[in-house]
Amino acid sequence: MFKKLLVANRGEIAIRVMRACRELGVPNVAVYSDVDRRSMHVRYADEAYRIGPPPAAQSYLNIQAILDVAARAGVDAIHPGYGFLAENAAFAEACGAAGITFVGPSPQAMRSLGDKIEARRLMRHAGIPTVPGTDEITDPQAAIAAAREIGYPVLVKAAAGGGGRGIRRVESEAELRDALAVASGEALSAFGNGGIYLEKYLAPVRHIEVQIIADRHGNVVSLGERECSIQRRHQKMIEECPSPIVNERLRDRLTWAAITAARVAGYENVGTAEFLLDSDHNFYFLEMNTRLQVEHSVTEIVAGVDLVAEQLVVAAGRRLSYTQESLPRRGWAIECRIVAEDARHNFVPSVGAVSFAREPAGPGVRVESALYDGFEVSMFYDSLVAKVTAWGRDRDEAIRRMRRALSEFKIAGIETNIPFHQRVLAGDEFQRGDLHTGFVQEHFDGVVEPPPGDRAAALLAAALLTVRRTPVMRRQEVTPDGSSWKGRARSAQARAAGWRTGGWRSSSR
Amino acid sequence: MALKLTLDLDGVSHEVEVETSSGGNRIRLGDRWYSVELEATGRPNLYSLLVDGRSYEVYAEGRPGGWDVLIGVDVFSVDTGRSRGARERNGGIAPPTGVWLLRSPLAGIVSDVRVQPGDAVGQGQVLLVVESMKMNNELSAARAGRVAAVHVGAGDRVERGAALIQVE
Repeated sequence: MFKKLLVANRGEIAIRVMRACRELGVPNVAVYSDVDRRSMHVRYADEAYRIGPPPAAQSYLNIQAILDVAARAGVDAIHPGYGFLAENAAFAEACGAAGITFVGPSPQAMRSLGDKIEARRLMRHAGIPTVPGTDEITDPQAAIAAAREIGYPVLVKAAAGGGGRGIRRVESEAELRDALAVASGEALSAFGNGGIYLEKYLAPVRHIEVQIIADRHGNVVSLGERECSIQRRHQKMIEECPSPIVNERLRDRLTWAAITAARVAGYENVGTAEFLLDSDHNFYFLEMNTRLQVEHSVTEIVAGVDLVAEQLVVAAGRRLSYTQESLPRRGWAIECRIVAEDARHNFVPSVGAVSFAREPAGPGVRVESALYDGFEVSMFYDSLVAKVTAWGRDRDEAIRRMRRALSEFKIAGIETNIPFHQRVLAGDEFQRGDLHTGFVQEHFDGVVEPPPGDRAAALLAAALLTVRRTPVMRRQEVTPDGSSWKGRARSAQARAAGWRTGGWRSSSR
Repeated sequence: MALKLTLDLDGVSHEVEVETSSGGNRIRLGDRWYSVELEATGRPNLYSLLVDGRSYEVYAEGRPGGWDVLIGVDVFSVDTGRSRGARERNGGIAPPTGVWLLRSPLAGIVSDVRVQPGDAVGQGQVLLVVESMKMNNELSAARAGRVAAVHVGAGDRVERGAALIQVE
């Protein structure tokens, strides 16, 4: 096993990786930008070093700064988490050149799969169906002609994209012209590569993906599928394992396709083959994600494995610790991504400080987060603040548990999409498992109104707090013992502990 | 002692009368009286609230002119009447005529300004793009008009509520 591992990431995923390190006895190193000095991943780590100012390009995407820290701290492995440098082949190569193990696939596999256009070609040749579309767009006129042939709507996608980033749906030629410019800009700023291509927009479809893991000894194992059809603006919001639509026959075919994809790419470590599934159960390869996914926890829970620990095992050159046959599949798991976006106001990003946070717990509930009181949601990074996963013996129990868990999740100071999740989970369509990628657009009609009792309770609490805050001199008249007003003032303040303690705290800092 | 208050929540005014005594608090909301206990928990701003025996956990933060009260997963923004109408969001509702100011609904960096002073704009037309959390957020005109002023340029960092573009 490794003697020391650096986590080139932040937030909940950095902590997730460090947890596996602690269990395996591998000392771990955090890196941070200036805005993350106080963050949980820094506090959790065994060692932590600054890598630069807040913009990701100067910190979490700064390969040289990260490798400098790696050398200084003497690490022999780097885990990239997801996002940032996780699918950056140049980074994986630079790690190799520095004699450090990159926990992930080889740079060659990352290159061929990370370029979505090349990946599509590779899969077609292996006999895996792909979504109708184009190769790389070099000329807007050619793109417009191709779109005419494919038929609108089409998706404009970043060749170096993935994880739902850099995708635009366009309905018409006029929109396509605008979108080509914006998508290319987004792709360039997010991935350092402005390459884009077109794909037919298939609807209605489900998003089904298959988790695989491969070792250096030719073993490839599928850990089953996830359904990630509940998306907003191409961002997955709710994921589950297994999928309510996939039967054993379809599962066998998906497993074959995912394992074949891994083999033709010479894949090692964890990866995810993403597919679209149409209403006739035809599936189309979408892309292969060459990293740990945000939603890996639902698979871990159902398959009973620690995917991050297993990543370290295979990255260290050992054999997979299980075979396809030895993997159990137990019950159902659902994940909700909690993001700092205001579900009541068209999901506008909510930047600011979390003044109070309490995460759910209890049977079957798992939370991954980096939240703390005072946590700052920064405009510099993505808006994920926590992931809640609920497990049940069956889908119904998992949903019930998730609804209970969400009702326990308290966050003050920022707005989140928890009310969105509550609305979706409460709906018949979701509970029936009747899902597709347009589900949110079709069924999400605003958040659930809070119970009227809560509204009254809020008014009553505010009334009492306001009275307690009114000047002490006015409350003086009820003093029966004629004590001095100063003494009364102090006890009145003590009674009003809530807001006054807040004021005192800030003045004593 | 009794105190009368007017509280506003979501645009609705509520008459409230508060009676505090050593025996507890009685509060009239509309025409109904409630027995109310609000107990500090030791964690600043966090309370246990009992309303006629019904139990709530309440997180309440004071702000100028009112309280933000978290119950369950919902935040109720209660105004105590002093600074009503002071809060403006998303540029407010556009009046049918006259001047309308586009304010930034979020903090971020202006990545693209699509209009210039003097431009005629149609309703729904994208005026400006603000990048935040790796997403381009297109801000569009709430109604048709003519651009009177552009207060920001590409590359500018803007806070939530910042004045961006004036349309008349």
